[in-house]
Amino acid sequence: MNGSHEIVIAGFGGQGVLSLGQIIAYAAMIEGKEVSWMPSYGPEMRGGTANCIVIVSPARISSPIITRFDSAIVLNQPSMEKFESAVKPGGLLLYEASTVLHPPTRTDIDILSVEALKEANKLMKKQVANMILLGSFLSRKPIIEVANVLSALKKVLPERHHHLLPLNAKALEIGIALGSAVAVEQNQ
Amino acid sequence: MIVEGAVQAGCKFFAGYPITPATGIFKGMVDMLPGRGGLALSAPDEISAIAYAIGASLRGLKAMTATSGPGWALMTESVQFALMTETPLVIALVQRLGPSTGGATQGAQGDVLLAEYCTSGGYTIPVLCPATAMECYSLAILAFTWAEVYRTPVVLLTDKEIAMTSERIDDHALCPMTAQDRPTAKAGSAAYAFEFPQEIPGFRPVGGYEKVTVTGSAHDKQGRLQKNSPETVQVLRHLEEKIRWREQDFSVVESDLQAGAETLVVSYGVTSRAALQAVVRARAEGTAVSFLAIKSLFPVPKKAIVKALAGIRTVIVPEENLTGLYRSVLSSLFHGADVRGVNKVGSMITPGEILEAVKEVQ
Repeated sequence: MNGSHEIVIAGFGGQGVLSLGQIIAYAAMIEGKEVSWMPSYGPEMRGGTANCIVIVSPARISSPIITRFDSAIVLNQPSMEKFESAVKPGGLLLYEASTVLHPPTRTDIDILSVEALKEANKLMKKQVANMILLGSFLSRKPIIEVANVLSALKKVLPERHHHLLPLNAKALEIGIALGSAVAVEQNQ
Repeated sequence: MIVEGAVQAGCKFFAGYPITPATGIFKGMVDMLPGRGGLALSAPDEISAIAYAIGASLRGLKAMTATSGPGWALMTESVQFALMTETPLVIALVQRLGPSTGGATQGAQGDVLLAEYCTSGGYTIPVLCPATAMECYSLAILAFTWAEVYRTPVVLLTDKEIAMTSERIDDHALCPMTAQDRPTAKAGSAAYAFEFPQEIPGFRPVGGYEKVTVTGSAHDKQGRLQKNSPETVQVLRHLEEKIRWREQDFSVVESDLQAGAETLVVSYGVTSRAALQAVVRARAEGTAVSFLAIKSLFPVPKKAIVKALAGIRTVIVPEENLTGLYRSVLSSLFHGADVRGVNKVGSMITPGEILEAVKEVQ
């Protein structure tokens, strides 16, 4: 579909995989786009596999299920094995560096490895690793405005966690910087 | 959106017992209903949940419960009680992978016949099947209208993907109407009075000024238990006749027929969205193909299906179950056509798989 962007975000439960997708969907909705967010996870509260498919489109979305993606954001090894081949040629495969042991090998896609967990630990809050990844994603695929991501965050985060908003904004900034830095490196 | 629709419809009572993937409805009702002049209860189990809802409806409130496959299995006795006592009731059944506890977080379309044929005697229970968030809202309102106007249990059949996927909706396009109310009984008439079998008896609340007898056993028009009296048999026939006679009023479909097409794709629920995309792609590649998404699974919208069949040689019915449940119901209408299924369990059917089936025909 023209102008639409189809993303899969996959990892373990508890890594913020589903919330990351929700934030993208909300932000796109604020911009007046059509969105669909479809979660898929096991019965475990934490530690099971989890993924979500997010579609952002200027036109109405017919099917929330798709098998090939414009972008994949991967947070563990099993998800890498499952989704590396599902990225469309020329698409983006972004992954968290420390959780993926065997890096992807495809050469027809844009591959970006980000040390999100390490950076999040520096902020003393490993839960914001997903926001760092989101920042890196947006640096490559600016499908939504950063300002709208921050407003979306207010909706997705329960009010009791609103004191963490500045920290999340910081994580997002770090992610954008990391994504841009790698891009520059590759261009050289 | 089912919760929004139910509240808009005028639902004033909800009782439920949490079960994935229907817990969202339970939680939504508990959060929302008390603030809108209603009551939402957490029941100790599914049997109590539906019994509470029936009780509230017998008192005159628009009532609903929600569950998934394993809970539905427990509820079926009470669904029959609601049918037998002509008690309006909406049951949101969110399908998950079965049999038994199956897969709590996996979708499926395996309860289609279980929802419809849960009564001894095979009485027709209206079943509505939304495919989008917007339809969850509008069909929830319609489910209440049907339940109330025809005094029957109505199943709002969704699945994990429909119930748990978030989508953007245009809230200005939401129907601002409430559901219609049940007919009321004339003073002094019998509690289940009808002259012709297709008539809907006026409702009289339990606990009102006049005596009402409610029994799940075979009864006469007064609600008195009786064995094999002509009037009792008449009541039993009436329970089916009141729906069957109005069959055409229950037809809700979305049809997109293409002139000259010899292939028709028939689908419902979340799979119909993958099917629609497959049809759009097939047409872009130059293949003529017609499409029919059925929203009112039961009573079967025969007229719309027969209309869609004109000039059709092959019918493809994609659905997320192993044996082609709804295909087996429709097959008698497809006489002469080559009928094929696209079936899968454990994961969703993709547009590509349906497109493949469409291309195979050519």
